[in-house]
Amino acid sequence: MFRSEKRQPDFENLLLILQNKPAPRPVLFDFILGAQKEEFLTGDFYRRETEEDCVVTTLRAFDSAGYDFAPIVVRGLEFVRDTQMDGGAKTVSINHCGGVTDRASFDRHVWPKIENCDFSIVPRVFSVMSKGMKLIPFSVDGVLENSTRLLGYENLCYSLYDDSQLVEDVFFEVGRRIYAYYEKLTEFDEVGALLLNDDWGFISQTMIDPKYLRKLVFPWYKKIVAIAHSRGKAAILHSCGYYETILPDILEMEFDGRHSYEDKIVSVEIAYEQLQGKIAVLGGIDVGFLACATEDEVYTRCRKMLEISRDRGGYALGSGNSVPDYITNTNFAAMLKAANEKY
Amino acid sequence: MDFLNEISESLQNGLTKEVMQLVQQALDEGIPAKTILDEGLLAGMNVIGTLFKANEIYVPEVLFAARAMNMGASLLKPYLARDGVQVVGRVVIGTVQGDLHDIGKNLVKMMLEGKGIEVVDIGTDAPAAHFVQTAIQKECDIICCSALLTTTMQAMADVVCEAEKAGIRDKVKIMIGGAPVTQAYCDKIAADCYTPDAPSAAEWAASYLRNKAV
Repeated sequence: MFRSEKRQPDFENLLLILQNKPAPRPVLFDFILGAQKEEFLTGDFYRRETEEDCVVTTLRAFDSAGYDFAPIVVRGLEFVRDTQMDGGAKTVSINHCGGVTDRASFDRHVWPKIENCDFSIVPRVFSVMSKGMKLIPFSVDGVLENSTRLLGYENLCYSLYDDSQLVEDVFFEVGRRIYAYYEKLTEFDEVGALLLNDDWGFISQTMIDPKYLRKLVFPWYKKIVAIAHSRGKAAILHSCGYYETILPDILEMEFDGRHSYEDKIVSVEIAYEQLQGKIAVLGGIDVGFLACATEDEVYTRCRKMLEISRDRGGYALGSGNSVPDYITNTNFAAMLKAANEKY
Repeated sequence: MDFLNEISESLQNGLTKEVMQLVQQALDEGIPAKTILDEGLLAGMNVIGTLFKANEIYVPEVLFAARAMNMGASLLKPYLARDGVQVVGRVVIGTVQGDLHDIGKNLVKMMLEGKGIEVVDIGTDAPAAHFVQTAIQKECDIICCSALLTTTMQAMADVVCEAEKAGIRDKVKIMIGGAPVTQAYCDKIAADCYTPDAPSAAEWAASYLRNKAV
């Protein structure tokens, strides 16, 4: 265990943060940890032989690190098969078309079925975690991401003008399935919140004009947040990229927290001053900073962020995006250490 | 003159058919191809670049305008060749080795073309040697490297080293850009220029090529 025995997980702490309140001790929030980071945290318990091994290892890693929750994805709702990944690539381009180029390919497309998702994994793996923790499920990409990857980004851009009905139909087919996925997950007591992950921007803009996001994407998230709240679950947005022009929309959708900040767009320190009291700020320590700074610099920035937010609340410490393996274990540990100490 | 304004405005609205019709009409009226290019198509793309930089339009609108520009320019090509019009300059562009992301690269390519610069696109996952050999073979003035990932941007330093090894470092400028790239990183690897967005990249390249030509 990375955390001390004295630090007992308690999801209520994260809920306080999501209500923009202070918590009695620092709270951590992250979304995805690299495999080496999970190995660092789980030691002899590290397993990746089966899909369920991977899920259990993630749960153990988050428990060990001192988080009050663990993220989980229920497989079965994959919209796009990564053929670039099949070729050994470590990343994929969203310009790499997922097979829907026109009406004919749309009509032929085989859509994933919600029945293919094995939701029984949720209660099955829950007992692996320490008492007090809850699960926060996410999806295999969001409405915009999946629609973009099905169409290919540039093809989507052209289709917005050349064949807007095709675009609407693709977003509808993706959106209704993602809604059904999250609706099902709100039925579980083991689930404390939903993590709605969908990257809407790049460094300086949203991926498409916000008017299209308002028409094609946001209505689905408004519905998902509403069903989450009606069933007593919090709703967290993970969305990378520029967000200033759509911030009013994010607030209007009533997300409880927002995750993903980059120093090149707006640093977490500035974002916290702008958003505090309106929506919880989660994570935010820039990935590039975590990768390049010294251990002392990481620790100092993390402690400072915790001190800034201690009395006003609404902040949980974590990476700006994910914790990839090119961040050293030493720097990752420095961030965790900052939150595992008392205020 | 009205033709040129109409070409520019139709291009800004991404109206490919209208742009092609207007370009053809302008040619038929005897307006020099270079004038149609500079004061019609490139003027329209200049406005697009400015609007994009100000977040008043988005990538789809840039793609639409660029498509109209390329179609219009294809009509001008034989006339420009006949008149012996030289390109402003030549750039080799690619996404560095290990990185498959191409949207930023394609945007910069469109903006460069919108400045009348010829672009040699070597695609994604391009080895450092490919950038340099293309620059030598195609006599490029500038090498443009794109990367989206902190891990892959390290390959930009390889391009700088490769250019030094090939003895062309003093003949080409090396521009870098992409989400994780910063001015500090540009300074660290001794590249020549970092810009935060596609329009700024095109403006820097056009300015450099203009000054070089003087």
